[in-house]
Amino acid sequence: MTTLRPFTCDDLFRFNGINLDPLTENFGLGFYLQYLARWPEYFMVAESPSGDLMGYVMGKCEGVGENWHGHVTAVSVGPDYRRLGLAKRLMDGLEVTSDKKRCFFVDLFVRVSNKLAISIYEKLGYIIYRTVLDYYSGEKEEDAYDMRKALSRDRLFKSVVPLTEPVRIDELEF
Amino acid sequence: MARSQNDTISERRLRPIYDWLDNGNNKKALQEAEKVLKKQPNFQCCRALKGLALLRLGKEDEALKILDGILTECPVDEGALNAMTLSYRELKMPEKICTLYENATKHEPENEEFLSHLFMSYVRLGNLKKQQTTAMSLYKVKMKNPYYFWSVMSIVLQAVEGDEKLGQAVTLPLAQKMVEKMEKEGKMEQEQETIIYLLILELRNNWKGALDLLNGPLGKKLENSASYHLICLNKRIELEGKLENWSEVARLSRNMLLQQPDSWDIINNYIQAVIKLQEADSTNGGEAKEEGPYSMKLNKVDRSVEEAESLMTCLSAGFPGLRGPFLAKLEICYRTLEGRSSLLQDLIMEYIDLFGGKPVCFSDIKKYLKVIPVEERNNFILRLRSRYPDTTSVPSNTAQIYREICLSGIERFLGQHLNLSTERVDSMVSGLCDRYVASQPLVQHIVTTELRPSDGYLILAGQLLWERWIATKEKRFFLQACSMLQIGLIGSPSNWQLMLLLVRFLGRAGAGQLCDSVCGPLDIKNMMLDTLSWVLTRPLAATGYVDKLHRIYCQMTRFYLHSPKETTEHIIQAYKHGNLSQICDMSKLKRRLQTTYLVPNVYTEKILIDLNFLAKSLDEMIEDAEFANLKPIDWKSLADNRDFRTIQSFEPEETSVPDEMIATNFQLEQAFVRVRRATLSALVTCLKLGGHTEPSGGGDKGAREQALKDLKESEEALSTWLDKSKSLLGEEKVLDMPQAPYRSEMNSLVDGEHLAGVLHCVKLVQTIMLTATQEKPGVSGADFEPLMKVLDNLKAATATTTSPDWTVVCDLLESNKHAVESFSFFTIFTFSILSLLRTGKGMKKGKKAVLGAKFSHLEPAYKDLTANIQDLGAALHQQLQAIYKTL
Repeated sequence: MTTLRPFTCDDLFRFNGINLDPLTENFGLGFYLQYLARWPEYFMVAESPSGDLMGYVMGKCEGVGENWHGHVTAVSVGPDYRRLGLAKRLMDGLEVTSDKKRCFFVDLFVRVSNKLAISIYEKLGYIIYRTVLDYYSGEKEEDAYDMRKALSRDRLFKSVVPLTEPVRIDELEF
Repeated sequence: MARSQNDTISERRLRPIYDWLDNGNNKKALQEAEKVLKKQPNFQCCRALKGLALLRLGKEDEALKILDGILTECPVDEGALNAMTLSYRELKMPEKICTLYENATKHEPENEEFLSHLFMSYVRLGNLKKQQTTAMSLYKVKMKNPYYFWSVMSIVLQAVEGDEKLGQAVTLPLAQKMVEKMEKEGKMEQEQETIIYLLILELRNNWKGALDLLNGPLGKKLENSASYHLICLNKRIELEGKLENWSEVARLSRNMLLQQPDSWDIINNYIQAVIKLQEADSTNGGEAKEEGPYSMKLNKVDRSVEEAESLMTCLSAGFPGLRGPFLAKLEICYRTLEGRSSLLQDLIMEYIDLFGGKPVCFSDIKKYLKVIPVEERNNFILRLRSRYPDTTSVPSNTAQIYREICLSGIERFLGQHLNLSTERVDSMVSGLCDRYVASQPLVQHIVTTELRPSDGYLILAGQLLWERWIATKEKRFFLQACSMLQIGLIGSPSNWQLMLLLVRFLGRAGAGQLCDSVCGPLDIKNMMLDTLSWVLTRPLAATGYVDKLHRIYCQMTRFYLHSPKETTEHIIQAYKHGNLSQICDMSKLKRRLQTTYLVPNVYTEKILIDLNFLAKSLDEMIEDAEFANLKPIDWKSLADNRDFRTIQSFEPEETSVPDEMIATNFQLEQAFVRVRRATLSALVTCLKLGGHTEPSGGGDKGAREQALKDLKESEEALSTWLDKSKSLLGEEKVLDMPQAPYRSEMNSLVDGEHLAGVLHCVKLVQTIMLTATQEKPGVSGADFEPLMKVLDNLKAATATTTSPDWTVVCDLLESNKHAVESFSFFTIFTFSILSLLRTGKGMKKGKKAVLGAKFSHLEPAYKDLTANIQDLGAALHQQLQAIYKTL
């Protein structure tokens, strides 16, 4: 049970219960603002009946031709609100928006070690499309899986035929 | 043709300079620019790039000279304009970018790009009026909708940020008229244009107009869009509610609930509407109720609580597992509570049956637990416990763990943990710890980045131990809690609730350095610096870990310096991308970040650390004082962005943190900033005096007058806020709990007479200055006495320490830190006093100062003062050594 609404700047002062999570990136202010300024419809937050923030999803749409797609930049749910299907609701919202924007697919990157998240995404219909070498830099250098889910416009599911070879980060178009 | 050939040649020559600049090799860029300028000395763009390179090499003065030179030439060359915009931005001179493009647009008034840059340069300055007119000029040049709406948005912002009356009477009507014109002419294109229209109508409280817009063709178009579908549906219900069309609210929200029964805002709207309808019907005699089973068809209007309850029953049957409909029943009962308390309790139990195994359960029902009458609470808990008898010693799955923690949390919330005996706490804590240990096999497999469900046992035990520790002052409770939380963190190293609780324990016992290491994994950065850094900075400050504190303060200062600018750049992006509705929100964010009280607080404390602890010589101190930027603060608009909600608590009302407590604490925090700022300002003035003025009242008259004015202001602020703080401290309700704000630092500052000492110093310096210029009758030894008394008291206070219990170590360390600071302050003041009293120019090292003729009678008093300060220093040194031995 949730109130799903657009993320506002005030939420930046209240999202600690979500962002203290070690696997949730605590980005610089500008990063969130960039999304709010360009893709506000892709930035949604879920609020609990007690008025606390439960989780949020932040994303964008980009690409040309058959690469026109929605991208999930971050999706995170606070520990007290897990296993309630909230991530699904947030992702559904983003997928619906992408579908209405006539995107071909939605994609996201995830640490290859983050088994839990990968299994959640798989349950939501995402497949491992390819491996991106050394996608994550910094303290914990790691490869990423690029996971994808086809939307209704990609009737032939062309966007979700997995690549067998891993790609380097400089080979990524997006 | 010739011209374009020249251009190409010029471009080719500039290319390497751009490349070097892009690669960060500014030296090479400068050399290359100079080479080109040898051939074309007037090449504007190249000169601008030279300016940029110089600036990036740290030669700001030289750069500025070049840039300002070009500015007076009113450049229109695109490359030069870009390089200069970049340079002035890096130099933090946004107003010059305006001049740059004002000049350019004068030359080429129809140049769309120049006008657009001019508009953005006004956005950087926040000059809304000029934004408005520039956007209109743009629209006249190119009839593009975005320009028109940039202008509309600039008007709306004037209303939002300016005087409310003027906004309602003039600006908003103007904005509305402008949009209506576009609507009438059929020129509305983008979804955001309709959103702005809606925003204007709402700002004017024109709910009917807003609703008509939403139901009209523009609204329908919006509703069908990818981005605004949900917003439209919600907005329609909200507006119908504002217009008190309750049957419409009930119908619309019910329609939505049939598809999304878990939407809490919609449930709330629905319940409110149904209750309003029932109330209206009961006064009007009511409408006939439908007979038969509850119908789930669309567009039905429920007019009674009974129907609402039936809807929720049907929804929960249709969507099993969803919390929404069940919680809605609780909400309905809560809102119509009279005579239904036992039903509410039954519903709570039913809710726990269904959802107690989820960690969210407690926060869901908290609101409803609160209204269980005090006299029924015991019975409620007994019933609850008999439902889940506490006999199985080992939970068999994670749901059971969550349920047990939820039940214990409910007990705590309903006051069962208040006034417990030590024996009872011991047995409860050991029970919780046993549970924790027993549940480990169930949680062993959980990865370290996840939080373990069983950690909740430790949180509850930790809270119980905290209370016992504070009440009995027995060390063992503290030690038990810390070891328990540490053990918890070994298994569950990402659990920030365990970390935050442990930090509060350690901070309370004055273990500043340990707080820092526990907080490490929290990685407090970016926005969290504003909301959560208080958890760590206070114990560090109290215990004098100035190095670490200084690093955090530097980090915070950078954050506060850059964030508003960064926000402005994204406001510009929002204009460019046409997401106008985000602009109000971002402007609000910018204000909130600029007005947080931590901005003056952190800056003041940082400079005080520089002066007191980090400066290695008097010269360094004077240099720090010269660079201190003490611009006036708008005290009335300070905001408190600290987050007190993140630390988990199951607290009953008696020990929960009410908003008023946070408000009082905030007042004290502000008072603290005020007195510290006044202290710093006085110190800066005195250091400048000591470092620069001629002896015995000579020197620059203007500077002396300014110094006197500044000292007077500091004195007034200190005495006013010392008094106010005393009365605020009298009202301060201190809740000694881990989830509450720390006790204000004002306490130890006022208790120890530190402020009184500073105040006496400030007065003394002024008296001496006025004597020097004979504006006041002679200063005498008696003028030193109040300060001497404070020194005596501070010295006496150092002697009183015995082996402290651990609950007061933090306060003890804090008052010692203040004493050390005061010692340092007095030394600085004495330095400036000596500089005023002595004769001869300049203070030469190793040379004995001789007092001027006017002041020779003060020699004994001055000597006493310095001796007394030295004694204080020695006494403090001794005491600190003694304290560290006992700890």
